[in-house]
Amino acid sequence: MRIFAVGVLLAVAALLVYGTPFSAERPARVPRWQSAEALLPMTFAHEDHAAENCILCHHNYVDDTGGDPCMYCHVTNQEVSPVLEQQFHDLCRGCHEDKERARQDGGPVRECVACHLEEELP
Amino acid sequence: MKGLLLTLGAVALLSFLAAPTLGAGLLWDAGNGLGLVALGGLLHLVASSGPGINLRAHQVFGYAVLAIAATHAFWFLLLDPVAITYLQPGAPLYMWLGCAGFVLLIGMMIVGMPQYRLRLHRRYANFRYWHRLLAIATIAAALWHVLGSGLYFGTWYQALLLLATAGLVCVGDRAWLRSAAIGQKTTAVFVGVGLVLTLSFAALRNLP
Repeated sequence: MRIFAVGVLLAVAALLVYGTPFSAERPARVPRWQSAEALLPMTFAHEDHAAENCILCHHNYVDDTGGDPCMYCHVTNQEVSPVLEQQFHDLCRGCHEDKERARQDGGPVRECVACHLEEELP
Repeated sequence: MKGLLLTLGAVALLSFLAAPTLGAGLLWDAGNGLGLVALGGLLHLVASSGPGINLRAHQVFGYAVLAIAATHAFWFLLLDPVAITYLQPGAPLYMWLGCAGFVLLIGMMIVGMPQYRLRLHRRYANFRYWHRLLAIATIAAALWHVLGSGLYFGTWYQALLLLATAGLVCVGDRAWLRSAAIGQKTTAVFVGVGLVLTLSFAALRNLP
């Protein structure tokens, strides 16, 4: 049992340092979009979301809360940057889940690497 | 044996109450299915404990639960290169509690071995008290982990029913304990039924 416990610790340490050997993708947490904190990359394809109403995501089109690229505000604004992960998970993942529940073709629901890719958001 | 099947079945069925079609992909759902089987096994370990239990069978069943919980954790860490982020600072509380539950499970098994148990607890009753307390803490951490992720148990009534099931299993009564007794073959049945449940869980959530 002690060997098992030590094995688990070593395996986790190796995964933290080297990443999984079963995936070629190695998204890194580094400062992005002028953020002070290290963030995972995010990918987004507008063409995949052409059927959605723009203001579902681009709230600033109607509430006049900024005109810079979306990520700039979301990673530098003191009020919203602490909840960046929660807000984007709720918005993106929440919408994908709703579509999945309705048996529609939605995006990734939980597979982290499907969205957190180095092909960055505009 | 009936108790084991009831516990595993209850955990799996409750996950389908609100959004039976909600899936996260075959591989992801299979990994989570293993986690739910581990939770069911953990609950059964508590339900089956009491005076006159078969200690060796209880220990072997515990190893099986740990093996399935470890497979659940490493499944994601190996398949998804981003999942390791949830073992780093900034991870949500429910993920930390999942890790805590896993560590508690390992710790509980180590201190349950005679060579360590006798060093820590001179009286068996004292050991039993702490072992049960740690088991309840492990279950609480695991339940928070499952409910906090909010995927399969996303409604208040599912959460309530899962907590009620866990409470019923932990407190139990004599009738339940009799049906939950772990024997020589229980671990093999647990692993077999667990695998079937995992595959069915993933398949049902990813029907075309």
